[in-house]
Amino acid sequence: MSTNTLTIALPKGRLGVDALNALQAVGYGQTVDLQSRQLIFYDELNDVRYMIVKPVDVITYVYEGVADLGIIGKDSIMEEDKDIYEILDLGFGKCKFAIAGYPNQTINPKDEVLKVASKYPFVSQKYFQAKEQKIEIIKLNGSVELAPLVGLSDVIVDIVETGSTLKANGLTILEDMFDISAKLISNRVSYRFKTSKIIDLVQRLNAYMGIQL
Amino acid sequence: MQYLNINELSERLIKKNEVLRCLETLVNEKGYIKVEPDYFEPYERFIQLNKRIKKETMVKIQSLDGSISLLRPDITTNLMNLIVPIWSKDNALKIYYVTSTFRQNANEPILETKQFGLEYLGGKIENDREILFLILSIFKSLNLDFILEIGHQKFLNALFKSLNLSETKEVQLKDIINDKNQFELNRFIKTESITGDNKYLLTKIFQLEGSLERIIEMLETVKLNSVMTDAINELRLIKNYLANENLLHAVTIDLSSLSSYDYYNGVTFKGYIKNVPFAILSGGRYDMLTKEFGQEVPAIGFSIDLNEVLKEVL
Repeated sequence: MSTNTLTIALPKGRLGVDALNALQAVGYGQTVDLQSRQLIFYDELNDVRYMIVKPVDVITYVYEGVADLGIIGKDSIMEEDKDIYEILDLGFGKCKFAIAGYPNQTINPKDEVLKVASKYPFVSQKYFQAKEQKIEIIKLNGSVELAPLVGLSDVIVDIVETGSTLKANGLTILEDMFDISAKLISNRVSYRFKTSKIIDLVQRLNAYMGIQL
Repeated sequence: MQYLNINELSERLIKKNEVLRCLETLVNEKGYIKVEPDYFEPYERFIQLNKRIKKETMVKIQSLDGSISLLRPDITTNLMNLIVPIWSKDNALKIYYVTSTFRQNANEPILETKQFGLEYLGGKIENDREILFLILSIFKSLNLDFILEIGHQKFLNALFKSLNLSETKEVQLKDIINDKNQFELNRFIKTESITGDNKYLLTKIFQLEGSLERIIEMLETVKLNSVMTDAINELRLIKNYLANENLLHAVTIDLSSLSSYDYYNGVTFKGYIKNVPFAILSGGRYDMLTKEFGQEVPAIGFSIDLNEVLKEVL
């Protein structure tokens, strides 16, 4: 470890597995074991330290500068709305933000307040504000699909990959909002102090993704 | 948790005052006079001047007649209101301040940021060098590991102008550049059908950084318009000056560097120190801002976040 060691925050869960696969494919993170309960790994070869954190916290670690880089979905970036550099699209973790509800539901009553359940209150608020639709946000932390079924909300705003969970619950996509994929993000000050190390990783990942396409 | 006792507090205050006196001495020697800026700022004018600023972060105050003011989010705009209306040509004014700005985040109390800053009004483009010299001297005297990022807003503004975008699209493009978001930038170039030299410049904008030689080499294949060439020439003068003074090591040039304030129209600065996750210094040349207050006055300045700097120094 030195003052020049690069620290990368990786999200727990499936996105983290994809992220580690990409890193390992370009010669990084060979020492990281996502199966273990260890939270910090050091890769001596490249002088990189890895921190395994909850996905929603990746941005906080990077914004506060305890991690120089992070890998995280665009959904979290949009919800957190923090001043960070979004330096590379990684191509995996693809899904989309969508409004979902019962089939054939009208979602623009305008004069009425629409009840929206979501894990993403900020994104929902901004989206409907731009559409001049008044909403009431019901912030949930999981199983958002339940909300319309039990009458907690009119619609939900969530990330949708295959749509199978929606379908299993009799719901459908009413409107696509934004495309989502995994991004490499950087702290603004780290980018200045560790430019060459960061650019080197970006170029390697870029080359690797070029082959993947 | 242990809180500071009264003896430790006085020790800290003594040290703090020493640091401040050191900064003030540095600028006093160059002829800067201390000012007390006004606390309030008319809301409408401020957001007109700064279209990308997050309105929700500003602390608003409503007066009895219903007009809305801001508890100053920034000092420079404030000082212009004081000085520009009474300005007369061929003068020069060097001022500095040690005071606070205010902002607010959702669910958080109002945040007061102590700032030390200075402005040089009047004079010529050569003032850029004095400002640079002061910035680098300050951080040398504070003994902090410091990187100064130098950009040129004239270059970016000329590029934006030749793209001929709507106001909304321009704000969108600035946000993309501010995030160094190559993916969205490529998409923007495609959807706006940007071609030719403009496409080249935009696509490569994040690589136009590092040493000036490298940047100039990358620009060889494009035809720059006269404003862009001006900007590069100004940067060249600055670079030569810094090289002569042996100050180049702490400096990176970044042509994609953008301030959250839109009023800069010349050289811009952002300063970073280790352990603080955001720029602790920002500034630049802002002749165009003065125009909004009645007349164009050559003006350049910068401000330093004292909270963070003092935390690192003490």
